[in-house]
Amino acid sequence: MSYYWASILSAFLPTTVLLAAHWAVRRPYGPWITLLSSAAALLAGIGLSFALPAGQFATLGLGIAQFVLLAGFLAWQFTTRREPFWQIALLAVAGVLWGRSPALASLTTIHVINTDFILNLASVVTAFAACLLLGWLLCLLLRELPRWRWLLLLGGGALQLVPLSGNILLSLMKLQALELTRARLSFAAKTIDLESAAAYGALLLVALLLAVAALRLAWPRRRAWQAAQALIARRIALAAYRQTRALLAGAALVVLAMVCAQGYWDAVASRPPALSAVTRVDMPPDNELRLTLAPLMDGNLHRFAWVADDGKVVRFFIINRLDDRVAPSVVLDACLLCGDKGYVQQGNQVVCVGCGVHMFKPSIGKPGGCNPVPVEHWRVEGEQIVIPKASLETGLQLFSTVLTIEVTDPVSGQKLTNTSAPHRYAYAGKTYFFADEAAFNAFRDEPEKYLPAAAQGDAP
Amino acid sequence: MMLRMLRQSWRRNPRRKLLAVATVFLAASLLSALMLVSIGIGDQMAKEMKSYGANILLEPAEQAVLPSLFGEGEDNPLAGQSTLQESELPNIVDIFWRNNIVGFAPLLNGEVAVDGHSVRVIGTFFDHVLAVADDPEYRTGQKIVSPYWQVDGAWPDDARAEALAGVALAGRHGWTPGTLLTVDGEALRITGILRSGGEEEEALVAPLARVQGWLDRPGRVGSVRVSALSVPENDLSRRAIRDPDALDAETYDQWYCTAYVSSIAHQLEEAVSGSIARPIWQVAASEGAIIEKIQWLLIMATCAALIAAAMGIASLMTSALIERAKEIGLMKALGAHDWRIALLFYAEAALNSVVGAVLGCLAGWGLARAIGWQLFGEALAFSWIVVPSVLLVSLFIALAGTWFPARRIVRLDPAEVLYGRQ
Repeated sequence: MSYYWASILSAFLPTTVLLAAHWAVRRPYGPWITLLSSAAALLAGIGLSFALPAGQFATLGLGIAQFVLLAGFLAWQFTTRREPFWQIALLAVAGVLWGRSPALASLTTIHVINTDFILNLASVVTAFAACLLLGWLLCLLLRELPRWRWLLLLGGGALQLVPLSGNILLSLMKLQALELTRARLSFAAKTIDLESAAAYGALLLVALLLAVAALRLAWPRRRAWQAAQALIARRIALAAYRQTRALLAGAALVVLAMVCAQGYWDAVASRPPALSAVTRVDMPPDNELRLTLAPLMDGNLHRFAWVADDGKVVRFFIINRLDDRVAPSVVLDACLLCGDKGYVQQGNQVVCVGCGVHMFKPSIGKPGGCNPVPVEHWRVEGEQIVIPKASLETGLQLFSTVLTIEVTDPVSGQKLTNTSAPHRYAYAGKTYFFADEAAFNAFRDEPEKYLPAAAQGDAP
Repeated sequence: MMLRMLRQSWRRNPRRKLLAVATVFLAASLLSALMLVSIGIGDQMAKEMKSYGANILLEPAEQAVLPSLFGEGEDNPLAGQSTLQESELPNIVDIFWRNNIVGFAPLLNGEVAVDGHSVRVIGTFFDHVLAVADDPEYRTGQKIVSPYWQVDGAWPDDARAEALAGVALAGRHGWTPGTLLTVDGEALRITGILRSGGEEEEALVAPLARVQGWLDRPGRVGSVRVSALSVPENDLSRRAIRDPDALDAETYDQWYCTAYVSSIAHQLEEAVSGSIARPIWQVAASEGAIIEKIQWLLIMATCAALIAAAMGIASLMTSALIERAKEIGLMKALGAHDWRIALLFYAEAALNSVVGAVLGCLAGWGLARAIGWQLFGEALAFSWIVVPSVLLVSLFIALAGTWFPARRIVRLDPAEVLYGRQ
């Protein structure tokens, strides 16, 4: 449900803020005309989004149209003529953008009315109603603070124009109208990233405005009421103060509800399931990891992490495949399709975090499909499970997490960290780090000279 | 003050209020009954689509040309004419998603003479050991695929001349666990009585190899039921169900490499030659199909009822306004705002509609149970979402019905009304 709130807020809040600032200095139309024309513009925009082709040209055209429209809208703000065009155009464009997101397609999964569909529809309607209410309250506030509307206009404009310019640039580069350079790509990536923060940006602007209104309107009115002596003047001052306070409180409530909905979606509901606790294990000197079998066979997923000497973290887990007897499986916490996203246990089932597929528990340990990559050559010796180091090392390429650990430069004996070392060299199955190029070259030419005798014995 | 006026109004003219409540009640009971039926089945369908397990039926391609007309295919009058090869069954656990296949069971249908009666037989695996590529000890069969089968007695051994008798068939012939039958000149022991809730209750369920022998179709199977773990269907998988060839290369790979029922079914088709695989949706195929077809009819009927109710409320309100014109005039003369007087009427209508809607929900629930029994032979579950929806819609019709008459309040001139000129 909160997904719809989040998608509608990010698509429509900046527009709401802009339109509130727009109407603050203009004589409004009647409520019916405004509501009906806005709803029609919105629906037309959503309808148009289905008609538009999906290609790169359409994206570029839409981006440029939106850019021009917004720039025109901002330029128009220097006049106070009333004009229904801007409201209709901005809402229609926002409708097109929202219609192109996957939100609408997931309203219902089947063709029969059901609970999910009604709840989703209700959240769509309430989200739009909340935007409308906020816009109306802001407009009322801004009528008393007309100069401050430029804060919303410039802020709201920037929230939309900056990511838009990145999008246009990206489209031009994709169509090869502009040459692809590192600086341009970096600019596009950074500005498009702002798109996800549009709702928070707009809410921050509104919160700023509310703070200004509290200082500039509510506070002086409170003082005026307290200072007023004559009975009638005092009563009028009180009414003015109470009205302002109600307006501010209403707007603050709506903003709070919006922050909660958006924050809940971003911080909780949209998150993938978190991996359970990881037990860190260290490799004994004989390069064979030994774990006691019995506590691992309770049917739950037991996750372990081993840190290789270059800082790479290899996660693996041990699970009992069968419910009625001991049948351990030792597998890496990664799959060939989804990478090192990992697996979680939900109830009695093991689920891939990457794609959500449920594993058939007895098949864990077999290769293929979405199954975790098996660890090879492990064996059970008495009460213990034995995993050779070489088997875990095959997993090094599957994981990307690197832990910062302290390493020693074998040439100079200097202590440094693996992530900050400028040079590294893999020799005889072990990675060595060097503080400078001279040490690196010296080691590369004659590695045996710098290694302790024990390590040389291992080398082939 | 407001509450007192409302109470007064109820006390003075309860008949009209009851009439308004009854209008809303009738519309609300119809609405809630239809919503309960539609939502009950819609929720079951959504649950099915969202579940992580599915059954897939593999059939010979020629047979599947007659689509779901005959239910799951085992009822198909042409069944047994075209078949799949038993030797290809191990391929099922050799597909990309082999680790998601929980198990499978072949089915072969036919009629044999048992002690002089013609009896329907189904050949299948119960708990069969089948050598597959990477597991010579692989076991599969109905014990895994149909966990809902209830067996009174013991499961048969696939290697021996043993069978299960469906509960209806066994009841007719008086068979019990331990009965010895003669089929095709050899003894067959009934080890258990089967309750499955399906057509197996009318048949003798025996190991596949025996049935192939009796029917003289060695090495053939009629269809295969595969049970698989899957990912819930979504937009991509629905597009793929319509036409996998219409996907571009990237989305095709994404679909193929995600454990949707449709992609598992697609790979099963590739693995067993001459076969068509389709997921068996229990609700979607039966009740869902009915509801999908009559849903628009339901919506239209409901809309008509709602409009009628709104008009009824409007006429009741109009007469109430005319009757209470003097009262309104007095309130106006005392300095009441138009909106305050209008609020009184709106509140009255809202109160009536809430009472009507709550009663309507109760009546609708009873009605929905009756419809459920009539149409599907089972009672439908009560979905809580119906209550707020019906309340909201009833409130809407009451307010819409009051809106037109309430505009007259503005036009009333206190002096004229109080003199009785209007």
